[in-house]
Amino acid sequence: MSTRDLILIGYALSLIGIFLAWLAGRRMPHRLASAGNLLAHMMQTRSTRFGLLVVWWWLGWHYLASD
Amino acid sequence: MSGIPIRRRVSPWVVLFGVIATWHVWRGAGVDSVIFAVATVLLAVESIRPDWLGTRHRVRVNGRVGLVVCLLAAAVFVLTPRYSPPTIAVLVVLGVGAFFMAWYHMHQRYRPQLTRLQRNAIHVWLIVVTFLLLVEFAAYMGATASGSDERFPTITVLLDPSFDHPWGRALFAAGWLLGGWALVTVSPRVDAP
Repeated sequence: MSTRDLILIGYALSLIGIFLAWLAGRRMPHRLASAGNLLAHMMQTRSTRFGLLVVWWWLGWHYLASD
Repeated sequence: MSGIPIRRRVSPWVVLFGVIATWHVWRGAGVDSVIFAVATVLLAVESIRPDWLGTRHRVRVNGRVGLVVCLLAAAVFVLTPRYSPPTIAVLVVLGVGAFFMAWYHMHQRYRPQLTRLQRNAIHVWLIVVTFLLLVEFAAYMGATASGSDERFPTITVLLDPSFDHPWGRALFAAGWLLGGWALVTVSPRVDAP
C-alpha cells in the first residue's frame, strides 16, 4: 500500500467521520446536540462568527482566486 | 436562566489565526498570511475592546436579495476562469458583505453554559476535524519533504483538476455560497436547548 493510498484512506475516513458526526446529532438527540444546535450556540459570540466566516471565505479565495 | 458572566478575555481564535498566519508565512503564501494576520488583529482588538468596533444593529438581507446575489456570484465563478479579476472582485465583495452581516455585537452579560449534549457534540466534532487536519498536514509535509504531490496529495492537489472545469466550479460555488448564507443568517441561540 503506497503513501498515496494511505492518505486517500485518511481523507475518506474523515469524510465518513463528518457524515457520522452529523447523523449522530440527528439520530441520537439524547446523546449529542445536533450540528445546527451547536452552530447556533457558537454563533452567539462575535469572535466565533467572525472566525468561522474567515475560514469560509478563505476556502473560496484559496480554490477560486489564489493561484 | 443560568449562565456564565461574559468576561473579557483573549479569544482562542486569536491564537488559532496567529498560528495559521505564521504557518502561511513559513509556506511563503504572502496573501494568505496577510488575510489571517488581519483577522488576528481584528479579533485581538475585539477581545480587548469590543466596543471600539461594535455595532448593536444586525444587518439582515432579504432572502430574495440573497438568492439573486448568490446566483450572480455563482455565474461569475462558473463562467469566468479561475484567478480572473471578476472572480476576485466578487469574492472581495462577498467577504465584505459577510463581514458586515456578522459583525454585530449582542451585548450580552451572560452566555448560557454549554449543555452536556453540546459538550459531547463538540468532542465528537473536534476529533473528526483534528483527524482531517492531521491527514492534510501529513500530506503537505510529505509533499514538501519528498517533492512529490503524486505520492503525498493534499486536498488542494486532489481537487484542483475539477476546479478547472465549469461543472467543478459550479458544484463548489453552490456548496460554498450555501454555507456562507447559512453562516450569515443563522440566528444565534441565546436560550439553552
